[in-house]
Amino acid sequence: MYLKAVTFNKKLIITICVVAVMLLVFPHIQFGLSDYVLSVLTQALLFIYLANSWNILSGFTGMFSLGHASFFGIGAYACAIMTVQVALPGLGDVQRYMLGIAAGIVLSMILAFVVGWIATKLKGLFFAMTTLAMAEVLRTFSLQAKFTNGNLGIIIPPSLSVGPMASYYIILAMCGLAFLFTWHLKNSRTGRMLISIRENENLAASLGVNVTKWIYVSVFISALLATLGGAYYPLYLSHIEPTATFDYSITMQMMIVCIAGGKGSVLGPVLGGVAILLNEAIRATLTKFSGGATSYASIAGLLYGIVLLLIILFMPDGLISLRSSIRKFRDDRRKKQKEALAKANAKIS
Amino acid sequence: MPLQIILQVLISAICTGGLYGLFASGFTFQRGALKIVDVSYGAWLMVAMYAMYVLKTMLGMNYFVALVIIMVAYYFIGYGMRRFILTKCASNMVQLVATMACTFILQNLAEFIFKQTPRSTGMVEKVVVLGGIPVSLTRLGMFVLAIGVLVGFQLFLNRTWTGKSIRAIVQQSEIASIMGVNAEKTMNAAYGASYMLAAIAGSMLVVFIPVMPYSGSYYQTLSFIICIAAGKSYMRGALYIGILIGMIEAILQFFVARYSMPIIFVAFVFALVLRPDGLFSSKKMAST
Repeated sequence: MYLKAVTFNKKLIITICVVAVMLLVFPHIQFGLSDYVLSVLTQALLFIYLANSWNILSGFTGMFSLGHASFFGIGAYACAIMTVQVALPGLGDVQRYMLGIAAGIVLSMILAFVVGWIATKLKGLFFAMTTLAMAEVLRTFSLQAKFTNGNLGIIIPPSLSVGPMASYYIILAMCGLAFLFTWHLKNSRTGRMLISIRENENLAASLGVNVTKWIYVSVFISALLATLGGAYYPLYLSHIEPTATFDYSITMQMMIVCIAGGKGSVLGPVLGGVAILLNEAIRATLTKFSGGATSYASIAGLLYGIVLLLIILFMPDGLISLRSSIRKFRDDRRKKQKEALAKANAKIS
Repeated sequence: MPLQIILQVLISAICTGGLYGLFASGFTFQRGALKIVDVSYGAWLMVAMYAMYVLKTMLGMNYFVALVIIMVAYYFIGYGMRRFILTKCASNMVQLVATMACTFILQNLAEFIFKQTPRSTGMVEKVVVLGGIPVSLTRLGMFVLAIGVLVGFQLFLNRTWTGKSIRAIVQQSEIASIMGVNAEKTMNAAYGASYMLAAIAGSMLVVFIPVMPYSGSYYQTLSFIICIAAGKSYMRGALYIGILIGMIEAILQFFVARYSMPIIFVAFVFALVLRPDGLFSSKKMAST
C-alpha cells in the first residue's frame, strides 16, 4: 500500500511561496517596522530551524529528547573555542571558524553515538530524563571548566560578525533548506521507517525494519542539524555563555515551537515560530505600557506560560490541527443546514 | 580533617537527605502508582517554601498552624492539578509539556512577587553538643518528622479504606470500579495526598535552605534522580536513596565543590542505563 505521508495541495504551496517571498524581501522593505522586528524574526527563524531538528528525533522517531541543547551548545562552543581560545598560528578567524564547525560536528557525532546507544536501551520518560541529565552535565561542566571561560562566556571577535541583514539571510536559507529536507525526509523511505518506529516499534521490527540502525540514523541527522544551528550562533550573537547554549530553556524553546505548531508534521515547526513572535510581542507591549519597569519580564513569562498551557490543553496536536478542525466545523455546519433545508422542504410538501 | 567535622557534616547531610527522600517519595508515588509525569512538582515545592516564608515570617504565624494550612491548600491544589490539567492530556509526554508550562508560570509568578532575593524563615536552629559533636535539634526533629510522615503515608495506603481503594485501582481499575470505588475521585484524592508530601517537605526545607524562584528546578531534578534510582513504585527505596544522595552531595561539596553536580548527573546516567528499573530491582529492562 502506498502511504502518502504529506499532502500538499496547490493552495498550500502558493501560501508557502508567498510567505517565503515576503520573508526574502522583508529586510529591504520592512513594511514600516523597526530593526527590532528584524532581530525578532531572526530569533524566531533560528528556533524554527532548531525545532525542525528536534522534530526529526522526537516528532518522527518518537524519541522524546530533553537534551537537544547539548548538540546546539557543542556547535556554538566548538566554534567559539576554536576561534578564540586555541592558539592556531597562521590562520584567519574565518578559517578557524570553519575548523570549529568541523570540530563541533565530530564532537556532536560522538555524543550522538552515545545518545543513540541510550535510545536503543531506554524509552519514553527514561530516555527524556537521561538526555536532560546529559545536557545538565555539559552545562555544569562548561560553567566550571577553564577553556570555556566559566560563566563569563567567550566573546567572539568582531571580524566574525556579519551584521543583522546577513545573519537574517543565513538563517533564512538554513531554515528553508531544513524545511525542504524534512519534507523530503518525511516522504522518503527513511522517513517512513522512522515513523513506523514511532507508531509501533515491535511491529516495525517484525516487518523487517532494522530498528537499531534507524534510531541511530535519526539521532545522527537530528544532532547534525542542531550542531549546525549552534555553529550559526556565534555569527548571530557576539557572546557565548553556558546559560544561553546548554540550558534547559533552549531545549524547552525548541519543544514549544515544535509542539505549538504540531509535532511530527513538516509544517508544524514553521507554524510554531508564531510562539516566539508571540512571546516577543507580549514582552514589547508590556515594556511599552509599564514604561520600562523591571518586573515586566516575569509578567511576560507568566502570560507566555498561560498561553502555552492553553495551547497544549485545547490543541494538543498544535496549530496545524486548526486547519482540519476548521474544515470539520464548516462541513458540520453545511450538513446541518442541508438537513434543516430538507426537513423544511419535507414539511412544505 | 578531624573526625568530628566529618560526623557533623554527615549528620546534617542525613537530615537533609531525609527531606529529599520525603519529597521524592511523593514524586515516586505519582510516577509509579498514579502513572503521571508531573515536572511542576519541584515548582510547587518551591511555592510551598514561599508559602511557609509568608505565613511564618511575614505574618508571624505558629509554625505548625502554618504547616496545616499549607497542607490543606496543597491537597486541593493536587486535586485540581489532576482534575483539570493532567487528565486532559493524552499521553505522558503531553503531561510533561503541560506541567513544564505550569513550572514556567509558577517560576515567573514567584519571580514577580518575591524578586531574585533568597528568602528564608530566619528561625534559629537549636543546637546541642553530643559527645563533642554539635547536632542541630531542629534538623533532627525535621528528620524524625519526615520519617513519621512517610510511615504514616504507608499506613494510610495499607490500612485505611481510601488507601486500599487507591491500591485496588492501581492494580485493576475496572474491577475496582465494579466493587463500587469511584476511580476518578479516588485518584484525584491520591494525587492531592502526594502533593501534601511536597507541602510538608517544602515547609521543612525552607527552615534551613533559603528559597529562590528557580530553586524548584534543582529539587525537581533531584526527585527525578531519586525516583528513577529507587525504582518507580518503591517509596521506601526513595527515602533510602534520598539519604544517600544527601550524603553524596555533602561529601562531594566538601572535596570537589566545583564538579559536584556533573559527577552526580554522570552517576545518574550510568545508573539509569545499567539498572533502568531501579537500584533495588533485579530486572534489566526499563518499562515506561
